[in-house]
Amino acid sequence: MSAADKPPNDVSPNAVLEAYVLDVVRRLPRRQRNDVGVELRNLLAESLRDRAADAGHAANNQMALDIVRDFGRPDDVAARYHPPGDPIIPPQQSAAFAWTGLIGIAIQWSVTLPMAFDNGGSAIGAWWVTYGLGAFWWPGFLVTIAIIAGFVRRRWPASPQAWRPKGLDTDTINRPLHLAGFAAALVGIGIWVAQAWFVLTSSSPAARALAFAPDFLITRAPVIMLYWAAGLTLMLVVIMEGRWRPLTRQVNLGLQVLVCALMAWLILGGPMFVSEVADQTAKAALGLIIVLVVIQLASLAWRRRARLRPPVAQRG
Amino acid sequence: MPDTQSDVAARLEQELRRGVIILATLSQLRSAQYGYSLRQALADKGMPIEEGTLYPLLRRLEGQGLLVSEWRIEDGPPRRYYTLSPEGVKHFSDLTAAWRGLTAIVDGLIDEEPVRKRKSVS
Repeated sequence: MSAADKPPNDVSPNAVLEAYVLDVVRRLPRRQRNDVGVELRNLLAESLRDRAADAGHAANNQMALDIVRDFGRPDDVAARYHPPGDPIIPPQQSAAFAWTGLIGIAIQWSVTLPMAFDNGGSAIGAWWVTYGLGAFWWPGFLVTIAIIAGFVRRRWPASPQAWRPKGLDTDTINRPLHLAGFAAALVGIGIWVAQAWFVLTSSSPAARALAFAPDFLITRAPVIMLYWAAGLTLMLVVIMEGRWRPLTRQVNLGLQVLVCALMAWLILGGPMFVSEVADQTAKAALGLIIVLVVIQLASLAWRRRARLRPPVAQRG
Repeated sequence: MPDTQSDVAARLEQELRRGVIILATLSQLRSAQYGYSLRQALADKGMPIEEGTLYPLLRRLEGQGLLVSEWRIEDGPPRRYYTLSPEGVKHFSDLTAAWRGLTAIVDGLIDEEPVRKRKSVS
């Protein structure tokens, strides 16, 4: 035993018990403290007296320390005095809660920290007291939501009959909704092409602000058109079949990976717009879309991982 | 360090005992006892319960209305004596019936013949 583990010799065994009891009761609700404290102190003192009698000598500090250590850590003992309550974050949600909090902070820092480096190392301090610490609003927000959810859970507990099977057939599509999406995509592409043509023929300053860079129109714009054509074709096939099939799912997955690469190329391959402001804004939006698509792909991979797989039969 | 077989056995027995602590405690509180005397009574009858578990349990059972308690000052320090409340008497009776039913079922499970394989290995 190290010297730090031993109680000082100039205190009485009862002082060791007293210190322990005070450490326990300060973790209890105020109305319980005195009552539990007096009872616990007397019970421990009785235990100490009996142990000393069994040992055949007077009680000492080490004996008192052994008794309270056997009794348990003050945190654990105080927890045992509390009736089991409803935690703010239920155990089955704690891992998801921690990950959601950490990922939220990481995303905010990954967006704001590069800006601090752009302004030189001296901006790091300013970043920390603004965006750095500010990112902690997110876990605070999650805790607030968890408190509200806990209140709703206690006030209106869910009945086991409330559970309904969901997600049994995720392959069937809502045809009218997908048709509307298809039409909206066509309109969007039409506007994009019309705008490209309009700014070429217009001398208005507002129109010129949205003019595409000539190099972009020659090299990257045709690839975007090809990607859109592939996406619209896939959408049309799914609408005609009325459901997703393994092949169309795989093609869709491939297109999502492709769009990330395509957008990265758009960002890194030179100016898209003649105006620098328009170019920076468009590239920021594309960066955000890449993040969202990657999150969607990660979520898809996670859901696939969580599905139950049949066990492999073993011989023997 | 991996648990030894004796550690595992001790932990399993502890789990088993944990399930009956409340019934054992209620059984001894048909007459008034204070924490330390209750612990001694249980230990003398082969049911030792750690102090750190027993004393908070008494408070929780009192909070649930199964026990009533009072401070008594006799020939020594003040002691808090616990005994079954009328509600506790009823719960003790219900738990006793449940325990007897459960032990009969578990005895039957333990004593039955092991299930044989339906197909013999050729």
